[in-house]
Amino acid sequence: MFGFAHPWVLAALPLSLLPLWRSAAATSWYSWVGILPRDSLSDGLASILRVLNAVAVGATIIALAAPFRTHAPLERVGQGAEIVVLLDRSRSMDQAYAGSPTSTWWGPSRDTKAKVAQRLLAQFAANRGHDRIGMVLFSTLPIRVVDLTPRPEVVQAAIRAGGLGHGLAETDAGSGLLAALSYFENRPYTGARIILLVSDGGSDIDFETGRRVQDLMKRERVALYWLYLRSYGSPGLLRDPGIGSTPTDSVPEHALQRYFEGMGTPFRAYEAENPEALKRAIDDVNRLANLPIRYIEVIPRSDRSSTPYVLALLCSLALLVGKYLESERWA
Amino acid sequence: MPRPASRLTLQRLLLALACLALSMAVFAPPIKLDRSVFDLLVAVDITQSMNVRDYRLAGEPVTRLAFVKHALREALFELPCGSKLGLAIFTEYRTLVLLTPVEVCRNQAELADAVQGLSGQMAWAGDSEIAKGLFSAVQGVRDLSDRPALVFITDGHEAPPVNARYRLIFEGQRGEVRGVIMGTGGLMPQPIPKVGPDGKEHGFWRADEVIQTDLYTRGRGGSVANEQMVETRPALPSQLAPPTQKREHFSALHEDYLRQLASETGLSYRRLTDVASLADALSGAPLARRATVQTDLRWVAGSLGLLALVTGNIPARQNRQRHGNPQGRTRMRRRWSFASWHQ
Repeated sequence: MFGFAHPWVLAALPLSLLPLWRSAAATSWYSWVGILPRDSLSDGLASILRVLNAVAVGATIIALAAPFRTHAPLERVGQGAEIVVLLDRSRSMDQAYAGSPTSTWWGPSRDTKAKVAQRLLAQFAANRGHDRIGMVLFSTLPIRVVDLTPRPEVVQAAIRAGGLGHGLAETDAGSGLLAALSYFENRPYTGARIILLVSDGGSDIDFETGRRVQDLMKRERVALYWLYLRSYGSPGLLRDPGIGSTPTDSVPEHALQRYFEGMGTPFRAYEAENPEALKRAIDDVNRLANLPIRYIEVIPRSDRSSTPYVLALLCSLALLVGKYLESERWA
Repeated sequence: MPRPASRLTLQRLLLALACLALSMAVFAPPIKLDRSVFDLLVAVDITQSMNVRDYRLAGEPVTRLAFVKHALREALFELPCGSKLGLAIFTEYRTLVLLTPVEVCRNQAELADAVQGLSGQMAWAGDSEIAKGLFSAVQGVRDLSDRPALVFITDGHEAPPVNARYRLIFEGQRGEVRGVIMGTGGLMPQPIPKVGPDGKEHGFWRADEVIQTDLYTRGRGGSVANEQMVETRPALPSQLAPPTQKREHFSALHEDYLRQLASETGLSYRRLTDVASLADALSGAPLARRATVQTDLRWVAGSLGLLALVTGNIPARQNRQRHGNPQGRTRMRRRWSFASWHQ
């Protein structure tokens, strides 16, 4: 498909008829035209030069209108995954992170969980070149920030914004998950689908929401990865959710973990205690992402004005040569 | 004696000029020029009062928020490449940055998408404390490393109402953050649609459903009407109407109040009247920043080439009358020098 960036310039196109309409070649004066023989070569050359002149003017006008080519979106097969980052922005994320403290010259300092999450996510996204990443924030209500996009610049901007300011309000992981799942709904299944939950837990999912989340996870074939940020004083996730805990376990993280384990869809939890855990998460995504993914590549429109410029230049050069062959007078 | 030779020389010159200009258009590398670009953080009020339908798009009444979104998407196309735009939403008492500024041309589709996604359903709480939201937006801009200009789009409707005497004062440094407050909405108070978390409208807010008086007045009434409390703080100058008229369930653009907030924070104030007014405000000189941007200047060389080509083609007006009997000498057109070689 072709188009013009400045289509109004094309209104000047009739100017290109000027050379055809009446010759503007310089006239020589001669006593009697009848003395001169007809010269069919000259006449032929004249018409060719007229046409060249018209083409030169027309091509320049077309070039000035800045033609571009839009490409039909290409479907390609590559390696990558569709990842929706579901980032917790509740107030609890403002509390200290229980992982390894950052050492500064005055001693160890504890970052907030939100800051740690932002740092980990930025690293994660930087390591994932070919994915399509979307982002949803959640607190009391989910906030859809960007749809699945292959542009790392936008993803990094969303992640950077996710670490700014304080947390919002309560935590409702259920509605957040539903919002993240909605990114996959009504989309053809083109490759591995992952929801990357970045949260400190601390949220219960009610039965009704839980059922809907479970159904959608199955239907849309989504894997859930949980990058868990341990709160200060929290026991952390269970090593083996099957044993060692009772249903009356009062740690909310455990309840959430058990719920995710029981969903019957791929689930993995990573405690972001050390860089190793993040690396494991990235490796796991890499393994999933090695499955082929079909994606639509939108090629940005390309400028095509150089072709008419070159054409106009060639015509003008030919005209210039013609002009130098034109005789001024007959002696 | 007419000098046809001079015309031929002129045509050769013009053609040579056209060739030169066109080869510049073809071969000259893209030039880096110092141009005005814009670094903006656009914060949009998404509170309930933004659901009032007092704008029109294509003849249809639309909500303030829908109109802002439309104008913002249009404005995206107006910003020169190399400009950056970020998005934030305002509700409750604070501004939440959703996207830090990203380049507008490369990421146009994503930005348009993100603008389209703005909705009242993002609001995590129902309050609309404009002054606090504005001050937190100013703070948010200060926290961003490249410190963009702030564009705060709101109707200025404080909910719950603010006591003019006890309103919050801006404690930052005035003018430290550049930017503009865009006032949205009509000046005629309109009922506010009640929009649920599902995004559906359920009638309008009624007088007894919204807080009609500010918290200070409510807690400080004397036992006798008009009894004055001893005030601990001198009155602040304020453009706020006294919030005791029981009209808080109606919303109009509080222009004087926004002007006052603008002057206190060192921002400018503009009103969103039509779609173009937002693009104007965004790409206005006060928010511009100079930056070196790759610029396509082929059109300059191309226009010059076109001018030369067309000028060479303007038919010569041979002034026959001036030279007496034109029939005496026959005009002879186009003879190329090599034509005579054949003879």
